[in-house]
Parts: sequence; C-alpha cells; structure tokens
Amino acid sequence: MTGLFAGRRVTAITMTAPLVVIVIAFLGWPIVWTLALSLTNKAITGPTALHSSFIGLANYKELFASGSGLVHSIVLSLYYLVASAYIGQALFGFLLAYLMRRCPYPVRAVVGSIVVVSWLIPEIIAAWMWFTLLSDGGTLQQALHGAGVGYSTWLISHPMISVSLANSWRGVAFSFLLFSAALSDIPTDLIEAAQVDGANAWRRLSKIIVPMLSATILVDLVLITLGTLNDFTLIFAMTGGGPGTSSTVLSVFMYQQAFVSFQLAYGTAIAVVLLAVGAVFAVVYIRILRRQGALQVAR
Amino acid sequence: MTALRRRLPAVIVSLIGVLFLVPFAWLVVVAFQQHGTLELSGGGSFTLDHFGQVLHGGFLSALGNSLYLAGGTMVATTVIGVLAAYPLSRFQSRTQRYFVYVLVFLTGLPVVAIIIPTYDFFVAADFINSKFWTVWFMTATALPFGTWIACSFIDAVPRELEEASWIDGMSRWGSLLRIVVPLIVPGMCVVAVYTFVNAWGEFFIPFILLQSQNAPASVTMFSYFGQYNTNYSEIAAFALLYSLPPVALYLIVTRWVGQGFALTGAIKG
Amino acid sequence: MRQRSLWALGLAGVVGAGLLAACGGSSSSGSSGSGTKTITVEYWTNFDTPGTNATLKLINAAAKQLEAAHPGVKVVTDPITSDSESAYYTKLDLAESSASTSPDVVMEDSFLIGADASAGYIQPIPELSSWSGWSAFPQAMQQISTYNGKIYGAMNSTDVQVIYYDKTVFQKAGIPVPWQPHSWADILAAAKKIKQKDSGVIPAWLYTGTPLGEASSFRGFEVFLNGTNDRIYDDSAKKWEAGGPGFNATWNFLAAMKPYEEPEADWSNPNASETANLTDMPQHKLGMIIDGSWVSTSFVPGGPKPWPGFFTDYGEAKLPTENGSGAGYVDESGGFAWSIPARAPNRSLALDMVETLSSAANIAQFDATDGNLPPRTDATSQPAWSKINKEDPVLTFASSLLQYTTYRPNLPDYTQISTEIAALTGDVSSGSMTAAQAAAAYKAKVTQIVGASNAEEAGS
Repeated sequence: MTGLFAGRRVTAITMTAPLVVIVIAFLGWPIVWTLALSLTNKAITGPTALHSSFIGLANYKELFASGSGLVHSIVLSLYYLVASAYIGQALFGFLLAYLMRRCPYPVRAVVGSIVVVSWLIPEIIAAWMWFTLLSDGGTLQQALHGAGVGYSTWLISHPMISVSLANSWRGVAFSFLLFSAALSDIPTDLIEAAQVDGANAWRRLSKIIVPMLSATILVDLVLITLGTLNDFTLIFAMTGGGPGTSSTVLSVFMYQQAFVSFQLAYGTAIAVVLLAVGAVFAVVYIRILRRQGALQVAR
Repeated sequence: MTALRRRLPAVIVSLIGVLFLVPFAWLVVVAFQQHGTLELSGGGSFTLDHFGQVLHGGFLSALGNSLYLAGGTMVATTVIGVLAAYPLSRFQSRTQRYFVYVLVFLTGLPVVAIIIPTYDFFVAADFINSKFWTVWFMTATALPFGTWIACSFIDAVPRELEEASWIDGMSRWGSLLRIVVPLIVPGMCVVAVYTFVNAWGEFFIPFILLQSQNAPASVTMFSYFGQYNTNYSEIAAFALLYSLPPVALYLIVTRWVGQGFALTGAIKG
Repeated sequence: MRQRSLWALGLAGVVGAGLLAACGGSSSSGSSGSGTKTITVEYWTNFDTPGTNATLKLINAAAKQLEAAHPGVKVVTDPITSDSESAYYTKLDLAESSASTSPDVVMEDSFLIGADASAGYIQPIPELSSWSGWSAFPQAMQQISTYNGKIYGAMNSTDVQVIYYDKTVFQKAGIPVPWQPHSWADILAAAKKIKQKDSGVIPAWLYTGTPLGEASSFRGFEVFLNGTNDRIYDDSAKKWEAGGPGFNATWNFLAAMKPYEEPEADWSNPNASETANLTDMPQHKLGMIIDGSWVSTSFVPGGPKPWPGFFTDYGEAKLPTENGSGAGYVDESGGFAWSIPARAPNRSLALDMVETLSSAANIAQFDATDGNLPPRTDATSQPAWSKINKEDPVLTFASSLLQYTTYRPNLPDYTQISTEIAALTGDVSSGSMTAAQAAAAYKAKVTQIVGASNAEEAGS
C-alpha cells in the first residue's frame, strides 16, 4: 500500500463505498443482462418477445457483414466527433477563451453569458431551435429569402453539418469555461517576457500557451469524446437520422433498431459496439494522459 | 490600424455572441403568436394565451417532478462523486488504476441500451413508478462522469496543503472537508450544474420508469404533439418556461460561489 | 470559506436524509381500499388532436357507465405521453409483460395486434363475437383486429385515404371538376396536364421514402397494390407475396409518377406532412395529394390552423383500382382498438369496459372529436356525429369510402416488410432504382425476412 492513503485503507474504502454500491446495484446487473441479450434474438414484440433463443454471435456477424449499416454509422459518429466536438467545441472553445481575454469586461460578461445559456438549454429544446432554424421554411430560409438568396435546406442537403453546428453551439461553453480558467492560470509575466523577446502571437501561442495547457486540452478531449459518442437526442430530434441514413450515427442506429424496428437484441449488439468504440478512445486518452504525467494514476 | 487590431478580438467575439442568439429566434417569436407554425411569419397576432394554457395544463406538477428528479440526482451525484473522487485522486495502487479505467469506461455507457433490464429489475424490486428510486438510478448513470470530473479538480489541489494537517493529526475526512472541499467548490458547482442540466433534459429514463402522475416536464412536453397535428405556439411557450430553471440554477450557483463560474483551480495537471 | 463548505455538505446531508425519509417505494395504482375493485385503462395521449383530450373523455364517459352498472368498481386511467408512437408501444409492451404492471384495457394500433398477440401480450376475446354491438362492425373492421382466427380487440377508430385535389389548379389545367379518376392512367393524365399548364405547382404529392415511415408504405404503395389482384399477404395460402404482375404495375406506376411528384427535399423531411397540409395546400402549391381522412380536422374552426377555404377550394376523390376493375375503387384503413392484456388482473370487468367503450354513442363522440372515422356503421347516425359533421362534410364523404377498404396484414413480420417498402418507394422516387430493380429488391428482402418457405410469387 503506497501513497497518501497509507494505513488509511478503511477510510479509502468507506469513501468510495457509496459510489461502488450504487453503480453495482443499479448498473451492474443491467450491463451484464445487456451483454447477454445481445447474444439472443429477443425482440420487443412478436414471437421472439415470448420465446427468445440464444443465437451466439449471430447478431454481431450480421452487424459486421457488409450492407448492415454499421460501418456507415461508425464513420458518421467519427465525423460528428471530429466536427462537433474537436473542432466545434475544443478548438472553437479555446479560440473563444483566448480572444475573450483581450476583450473589455462588458463584452466578456455578455457573450460569456450567452454562450453559457446555450449550454443550459435542455437538449431537446436546442434540437427544436436548430430544427426550426435550418428546416424547409425555417428561419434561415426566410432570412435568406428576404435578402434574395436561395436556400437549399441544410437539414436535408447537409444533415451532418447541421447537427454538428447545433452540437457545437450547445456544447462549446464547457470547453470554453475550462480553457478560460486554465488560461487565466498562466503567469502573465511569462507571456510578457516572450513578447519582449520578440515572439509574435503565433509563437507565443504554440510555444508557450498550448504546451502549458496540454493537460487541460487532453482532459477536455476525453470528456467531450465520451459525451459526444453517446449523444442521441439532438440528432434524432433534428433529422431522425435522415434523410435516409445520412445522419444515422451509432447511437441513432442503435435506437432505431431496438425501439423503432423493435429488434431489441440486435440493437443491443449495436450498443455493445458503441461501448467498445468509447472504450477504445478512453484507453488511448488515459495512456496519453498518464505518459504526460497529468493523471494521478499509479504506474 | 493598431487601434483596430486591438479592437478586433472584441469585434469577433461580439459577432459570435450575436450569432449565438440567432437560434433563439423561433422560440421567442412563436411562443407569443396566436397560431404559430414552424415558420416565423404568418403565425397570427401577439398573445400570452399559450403561457396561460401551459401553466394550467399541469405544468407546475410536472415542474415539481422535474425538480425532484434533477435536484435529487444533482445532490446525490455531487456528494457521492466528490467523496469517492478523493481517495481516487490521493490513493495510489493498482486497484485504483483499474478503478479509474472502469469509471471512464462507464461514462461511455449508452443508457438507452440498459433501460429494458432496468425496467425488469425495478418491477421485480417494486421500485417502479417511484421518483425516489428513479433518482438513484439516474444518479448511478451520472456518477461515473461526475466522479471523473471531481477527480480532475481534486488532482489540482496540491497534496502539500493536506500533508501539513495530517502531520498535525487531522484525519483524511477532516482534510477533505476542511481543506480540499473549500478549494474545489467551483469544481463541485461544475459537477452539480452539469448533472442537473442533463437530468433536467432526460426523457427516456423517466418515460420508462415512471407513470404520468410522476412524469417530469421533459416527458409531459410531448403532450402538445398529436398524431396528426402539433400545437407549435404552445410547445414554444412550454419550451421557454421549461428552459428557465436550469438557467436560474446556474445564476444562483454562480452568485453563491461568487466567482462567475470561472472554474479557477481547474484542471492543470 | 470553511464554514460555507461545511454548510454545503451539511445541507447535502440533510437533503439526502430527507430523500431517504421520504422513501416512497410507491408502485402503480392497483387495488385501493376495502371492497373497491379497480381496473386500469392505458392509452396514448398523443393520439388525440392536442387540447381535445378526446381519449380521456371517452374513457371517463365509459367509466361512468361501467361504474353505474357495477357498484364498487373504480376505473383508473394510465395515460402515456411519448415522443413517438414506437416509444408508446415499447412502454405498453413492457407494462403488458408482467402481471404486477399489466393494465386491464389497452389501446392498441391495429397493425401491431398480430405482433403483440404472438408475443403473448394480449389475449383473445372470443366473447365479442356474441356481443350485441359486434354486428355493427363491418367485416373489414372485425377482421382488422383478428389474428389467427381469434378476435383480439374492438376497433374504436379508423381512417381512409382520400385524393384531395385543388379545384383552382385543376380548372386552370383544363381538367373538369368535380373530378373522379377511374384508373391509375386517369391520375397520371391529370398530373401530366397540370405540369404542362403550371410549372410552379406540384402536380401530385405522394407519401414516399423512409423519412415518412409507415405512411409511405400505407398510402404511397399499398393503396395502389390493393387495387390490383396482388396483395402483400395471401390469406388463403398463408404466405407473403414476394412479387407478381400487380407489384410490377404498382412499381411502374410510382416510377411514372416521379416527374410529377414533390422534390426529394420535400419528402425527406419527417414533418413533410405538416408542411404539405398546413403550408402548401393553403398556398395552392399542390395539384393533388393522397392523404388521410383526418386532414380536414386541421382546418375546421377551432382546429390548429383554421382555413375555411379548404372546404370550398378543395375537392375529394376516391382512389381507383388499377384499371377500374372490381369494385372500381380501393382504400386502406388503419386505426386503433381496445384490447385486453394477457395478464390483465380483472378480465371480466375488462371485457365489460371494452364493450362499454365501444358503444355507438361513445364511439361517435370520440371519433367526431378527433376527426377519425367510426368503425361502426351505426355511429354516423348518432347525434354527436351529426353535430361535428356540419362543420366537416369531408368526414361524411370519407366514411362512404369504408365500403372499399382493405387493411394491413396484422402479422409480426409486417413491421419489417413495411420498413422495406417505405425505403423502396423512396428509391424509386429519387430515381436511384428503376421499377424493375425495386421489384427485384423487394422480392429478395421479403424472402430474407420471412424465409423462402413463407414467400410465394403472386398468381401462383
């Protein structure tokens, strides 16, 4: 037993006990059951709801066969991740935090509040707001029409961009706040010294600021990755996964199969795949964070 | 030229602020229209009727349910999460490492996938249609993420601050409550607000586990959608009212913390 | 700082203790006090036009009648509000799957009766065939809630599909009104004429493609197929039809209509029907649209979008069979039924409730409020019905179409096959498949879904 809890094992166990008890009690059995379910052919209704049978990995075989839509969904999920999370939230959040520091207080307060309020709006409401903005006959179309510009309904012609915009709008506040705090922790004299030395804004950014913030950046990426991969409501309410399957990310694909087509076991197999994808990202990030020494995780 | 350059960030940021307001347009316009549609125009004259109809349509009891569910989840997650995050941050061992892995892995759990076995479990345990037990389930789903965030905040508190007090004979509980917690109050606020906002918007869990008298606003909202017709103005009015509590909570919390939610003491590594 | 944090934790502890103390493991309503028997009726609130609460009113009216006939009995309602119909079924099926949560009476969509029956969620109600009210239900309405020869429910509402056409647009195109096509060729000819005369108008609005879901299979494909000699399911041979001359004719017809249809952007929107009804129609942007009989309910005074012009500017036509053969016209109906879950606690009371709910007067009032068609022929002569009918003559016309109607196979595999049909109509409308390709794809998919031994070629 090492570390700062030496000889305090009981305390450590007591403190983590509520978490462990609750998670195991409420999530433990459902998770096990879900994994088992994915190996059957159970449906929500129909004969297999009554008499489901064990079919081994048949669901997975069907999923990984070509034409199932799985690979397409995974690709779309990754697109959504890169566009709405990495670019739209992390990068954009960082830029916003960086620019905000050079803004007078009123601007910071007002825009900061607006950005945070967008984050606080319930997800389904945000979805409707963006739906009415980008839909056929919606706000954007009417505005462009007034200006004499044509509008091809983005929600239909560019569904992934539409949902990515909406998710970025909704989520950037988190990264923004994270980076704002981290940036304010950088000693100003360090930056001033670099300025005096003749480093321009770009060099200051790349050589000093970003390296100092690397831990924050990584943690931000982990958090938004897992949140975005599982994101369901926003996309489902805005496009329903459509048109066709052009915005059917993994979470939407899973829901459709399990609860719209009523193929529960098949949908559960997709959920397992979703979990696996998330796990891959989690493991990669933790490895990087550990090597950075940024994570207080035992070696 | 230099003056413009200095003003440029403010101009860009202000522009971003304006753009961020655009999606609110439909909501604030249609809620006040007589016969709103998906379009902004042609909705008829100004009226406050829809707010009245929403408020008389059982909104307040749904709001109460929402506050119970989201508030309960928020409190339970914050308290239990911070408590568990402390040893996770300070205790170094192999088990701790796997523990963190499992925790991060669990944050990737799609709740929709496990709702059916949860329903069966709730029926068997007679937890069904109980807001109390639904809160605990929602807490269980929120804890991995919440604990993980709390862990990051606690990591940022230097151990030296505590070590001195341990030498003086203070217990781990003592140093947690008296030294660490005061320093991570902003972090706790992040966990609290984040958990509340997510729980506030949660539809599927309360939909499956609760019946109508216990339904939160996230479920009753859909009563304005008919099979073939939809009452858009009422939905917009509902949406405005429904979005107020999370915003109010945020304002209360930041005022209480007094730091404008700047996440100081945040993740540094 | 220290005090604040301690106070915070203390507050949390108090709240937590309060939650524990308020420990209410309250389950759903079962039996209440001594001697009172309760029965639970579960229904879907989104079924109604928002604001009408028609289903609740129906249940309350029937409850009063039942409680009067059975003193000491209490009827409890369990409303389900959801974001989609499939979420309602999920919840309904979950409730029906265990005895402790099972309601006594439920509202089932007729096309899922087969699936729910084979899943053991609902039970047969043979007593209905000897019930006095049963003979008022025409054969189609009796069959629609029957599965494997057993009655599983009593319909409480139904609908038909209608061709709504814009009189002004038709007159401008030189087509005489009132208009009634007698074959698919007539429909094509009219669409062609409209396109020639007025390029700014969508000649024919058809439900097509996956985004519109079941509606595409239903009134974008099946209302045509059922006007040929083929059907989706061969009742006598107990096999699914994978293809045939009727299928080919239907796919060809849909392909032929492609140039006169709405653009893909329009039907790719799951809310397209709203746009078509509430925006395009009042703005006279459509020549004709094949839609359900409830469309008029949006436009009556007091409806969501009152528009008196609908009743003057628009005409209604029956759907013709392919060549005008047989009865000349065809239609397809859906609707909901009252069923009894397999694990219902009080079966005999549930049966009484179903019969009470299905009285002519109750059904007339219910369907009149919601703009549905009554499944009983004697309901249209009820006073409640005539009152609404004064405002909405379209419903009278629509109920006259019930004589031609068909219905979907209420078998478990239908849901998957329907998804396939919807997708294929979209492929034909977008041009990514020819009619022949769609027919071949359908054959392959049906065989895959039901198995080769359950599929046959039509006409064999």
